[in-house]
Amino acid sequence: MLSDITIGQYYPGNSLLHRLDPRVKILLLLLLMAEIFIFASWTAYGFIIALTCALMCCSGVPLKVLLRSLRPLLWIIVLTFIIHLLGTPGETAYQLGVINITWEGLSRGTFICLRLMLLILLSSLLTFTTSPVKLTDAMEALLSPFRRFGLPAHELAMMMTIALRFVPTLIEETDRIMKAQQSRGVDFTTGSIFTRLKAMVPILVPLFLSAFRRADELALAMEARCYRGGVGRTQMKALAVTRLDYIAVFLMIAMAAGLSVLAWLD
Amino acid sequence: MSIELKNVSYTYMPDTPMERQALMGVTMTLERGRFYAIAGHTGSGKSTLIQQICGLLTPTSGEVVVEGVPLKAKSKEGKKQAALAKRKIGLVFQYPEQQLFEETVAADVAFGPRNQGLTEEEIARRVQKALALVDLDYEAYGGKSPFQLSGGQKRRAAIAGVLAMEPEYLILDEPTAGLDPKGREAILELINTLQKGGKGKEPMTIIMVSHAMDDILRLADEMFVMQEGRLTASGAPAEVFERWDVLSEAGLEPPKLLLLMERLREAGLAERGPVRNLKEAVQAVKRGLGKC
Ligand SMILES: Nc1ncnc2c1ncn2[C@@H]1O[C@H](COP(=O)(O)OP(=O)(O)OP(=O)(O)O)[C@@H](O)[C@H]1O
Ligand SMILES: [Mg+2]
Repeated sequence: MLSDITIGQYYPGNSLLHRLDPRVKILLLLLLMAEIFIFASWTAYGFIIALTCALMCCSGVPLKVLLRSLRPLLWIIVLTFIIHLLGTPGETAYQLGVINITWEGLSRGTFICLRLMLLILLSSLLTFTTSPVKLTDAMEALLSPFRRFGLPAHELAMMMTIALRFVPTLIEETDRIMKAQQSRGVDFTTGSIFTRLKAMVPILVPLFLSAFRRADELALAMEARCYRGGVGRTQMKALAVTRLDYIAVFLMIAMAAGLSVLAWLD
Repeated sequence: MSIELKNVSYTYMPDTPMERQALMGVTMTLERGRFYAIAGHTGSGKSTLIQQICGLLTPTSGEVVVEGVPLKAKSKEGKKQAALAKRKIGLVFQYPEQQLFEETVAADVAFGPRNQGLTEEEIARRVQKALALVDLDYEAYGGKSPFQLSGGQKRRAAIAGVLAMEPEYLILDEPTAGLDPKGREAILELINTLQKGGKGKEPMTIIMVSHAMDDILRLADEMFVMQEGRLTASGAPAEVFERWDVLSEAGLEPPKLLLLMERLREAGLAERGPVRNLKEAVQAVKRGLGKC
C-alpha cells in the first residue's frame, strides 16, 4: 500500500538526457518554462510540443511511466479546462440550458491545459533522468553564487540529500509499524475521522521515536567522520560539462532565438 | 486443523521499475501444535512468506487457507470469517520492541486485547497472564514506561503484547536478533514452553524465522528452507541438515553441532545416529568412547 509511493522518481538509464550535466538540465528547463510562458502562441507551442515529444522519446523512460506523472494533477488539469471552457465569453459553440460553451473557451481551455501538461512533463523529465544526488549537487552548484549574500547553499543541499535519502527508509518503517499494529488489531480503514486519527497514534509514536534515533545516530556518524560543513569539501563524482552539454545549450538557445523572431514577426 | 498455503506467489510493486517477485509458488501445510522453523539467506522471502500466512499481504496468485477459511474472500460473510481466522494468528515482527508506544508496559500489552473489544476484567487478566508468561513482573514493570526497559525486556514486553491476544498460531520473525546470549536463551526457552503447552494450556503452534541453525536443530519439529522466493526443502531438521547440497545452494551452513559431530565420527570418537542438542551429543560421544 504505502510502498507504491515513489518520491525522487529517478528512472535509471543511460540516455542522452541521463548523460546531460544536471546543472545544464536545470537551467535549460528554466529556459523552456520561461518560453512556455512568454511565447503563448499556437505556432510556438507546436515547436515546444514537438521538442517535448522528442525529449520524451530519447529519455529512455517508458511512455507509460512518463504519463503517470500527470496523474496526481489530472484533476487540476480537468478543472482548469472546465473553468476556462465555461468562463470565457465569445461565440457560442454549444448551448445547454445555462451552460454556454464558446469557441474561445474551448481554445483557451485546451491551451492552458497544454501549458500545464508541458510544464509537468518537462519537469518530470528532469527528475526521471537525474538521480536525486546529482540533482542536489546541481542545486548546490547553482545556488553557491548566492552564498555571498548569506545563503547556506551547501547546508541546504545536504539537508535535501539527507531528506531524500531517508524518505524510502521512513516509508518502509511506516509500512512495517502499520503492519505490526494491524496485526495487533488496529483498523485504519473504517470508522469516523476521529477514530481514524486516534488509530494513527500507535504508528506516529514509534515512527517519531525511530526517526529521532536515526537522526541522532546519523549526526554522530557524520561527526565521527569529521564532517565540518561545506568549506573546502570536494566531491567524489564532480560534475563536468561535456560537448553534449554545449550542443544542447546551443540548440536550445537557437530555438529560443527562433521563437523570439517568430513572435516579433507576428 | 491447519494453515495451508497453496501455490502462493507474491510480487512487490508490480508494474514499476522496482518490481520484484519475492515468492514463487510456495506450497506448505502448518499443522496445529507443532514447531516450525523457516531458514533462508537474507532476501530469500522469509518475512514476505510469514506476512502471507497471517494475511497482512494478499498473494498475487495462489491462496492461504486458515483452518478451512480462505483469507482472500470477496463476500461480506467471507470477509468476516477471514477476519476471525486471522485473529487466531499472532505475529511478532523482527525487532518488535520498535512498535511499543504506550505510556506504560501494561497499557501497551493491553492494546491488542482492547482492539479485540474484550471487557476490562478480561483485558486485565490477559495482561497479567501475558506478562507472567514472558517473565516480567507485573508489579515491578507493569507501571513503567516501555522505554525505561532494557533491550531484552522491551522485546519480552512486545511479545507479551502479542501473547495477550491469545493466538493459536504464533509467528516470530527472528525473535532473538540483536540479543545477548542470555536474552536469546530466555526467549527461546519461552517459545519452547509455549509450544509444549501443559499445565492446562493447549500447545501453541510456533512458526519461527531464524538464522541460527543450531536453534532450529534443537527446537523445531519441521523446517522449511527458502531460496530466492522458492521453497527448496522441507522436513525434519535432522534430515534437512543432511542435505548439504541444498543447504549450500540456499546459502546456509549446517549447525555447528552437526559439523563437530561429523569430525568426531570421522575420528571414531562418537557413535552414528541422530543428534539434536548438546545432551544427545554428549551421550553419542560417551557411547562412541565406550566402544573403544
Ligand atoms: N516493501 C517491499 N517493497 C519492495 N520489495 C520488497 C519489500 N519487502 C521486501 N522486498 C524484497 O523482497 C525480497 C524478499 O524480502 P524479505 O524481506 O521477505 O526477505 P527475508 O528473507 O525476510 O530477508 P532477511 O533475512 O534479511 O529478513 C527481497 O529481495 C526484498 O528486496
Ligand atoms: Mg526478514
